[in-house]
Amino acid sequence: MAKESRSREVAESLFDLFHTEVVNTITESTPNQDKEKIYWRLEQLGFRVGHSLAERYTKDTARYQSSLEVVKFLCKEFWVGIYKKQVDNLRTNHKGVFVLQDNKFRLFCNISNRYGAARLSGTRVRSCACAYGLEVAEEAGGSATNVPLSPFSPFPSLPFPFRPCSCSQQYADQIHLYTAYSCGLIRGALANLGYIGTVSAEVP
Amino acid sequence: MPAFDSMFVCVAVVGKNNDPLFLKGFTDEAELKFHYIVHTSLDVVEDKVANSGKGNPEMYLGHLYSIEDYKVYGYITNSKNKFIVVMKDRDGVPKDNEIKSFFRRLHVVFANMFCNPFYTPGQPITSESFGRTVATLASSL
Repeated sequence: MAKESRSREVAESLFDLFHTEVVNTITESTPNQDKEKIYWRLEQLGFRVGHSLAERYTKDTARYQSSLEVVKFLCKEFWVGIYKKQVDNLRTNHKGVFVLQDNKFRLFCNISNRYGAARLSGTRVRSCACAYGLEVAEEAGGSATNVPLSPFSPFPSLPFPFRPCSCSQQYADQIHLYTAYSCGLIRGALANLGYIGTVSAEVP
Repeated sequence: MPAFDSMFVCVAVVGKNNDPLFLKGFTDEAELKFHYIVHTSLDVVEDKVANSGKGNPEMYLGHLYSIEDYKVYGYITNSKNKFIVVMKDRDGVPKDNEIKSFFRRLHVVFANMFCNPFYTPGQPITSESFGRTVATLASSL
């Protein structure tokens, strides 16, 4: 006789903190701090997870007929399942390049702002992330540039720009690493659904 | 192999490149025969997928074809993994709904197995618990 199981809950913040720590660990454990290797390792992590998550989230949906439907699935169910919100803007050039825009990317949301909590109305500030000094603004909109198709990918490049304040370019390199896992997630999900492509992120 | 009194004679999981990932027979027949049956059903699956162009296609493909005294049913997931089920053609043929629900449950079990970090996608399924769960599911019909 199965007991009525109470649904177990996990704090969302755990993943944000864990992700930050994963980036740290991989950065330190990679010999020579080779940026490309670090990015690749993080992306591979995300790839396997994205692969499995796509399998799980497409269980109850109808079959997808076109690449557009797959990308729409990514923007809606997939993004909601992972980040609890939908992608804010989707653009395509109908030739295989898709731009997903997230104005309030969850993994950066809780990274503290140099000017204190007042600037980030509605977002919590994490004291442990103060060291990064990154600035996150929640203005909507933002220009997205299309990344041209790489010759090796028959399918889309998907940049998805976020929108931190561009006044601080100092940490531009580091923030790039924090997008690696998410790029891998998307690439893994696409690969499972039958589309090989490249994913790159842009943080304006 | 214990003899079930169920309709299911064989359950198979085929990957996206039409490579067999899992095949389990529930009778004393040689497995090679089931491999052959499942292999021929792949053509029919491709046919059905190509022809289901317009409208909102379902994952359940229905009755694919009949051979000797077996009936073959198919199901395809969004990740292009196919589940093939071979049943003995008896008088009390189970309803579509029962087979659909079997496929749904199989999909759940498959998704759980897929998320197992010890499983590499594309490799044959060697998980014993997956085999046991499939056997239990099959015998419940």
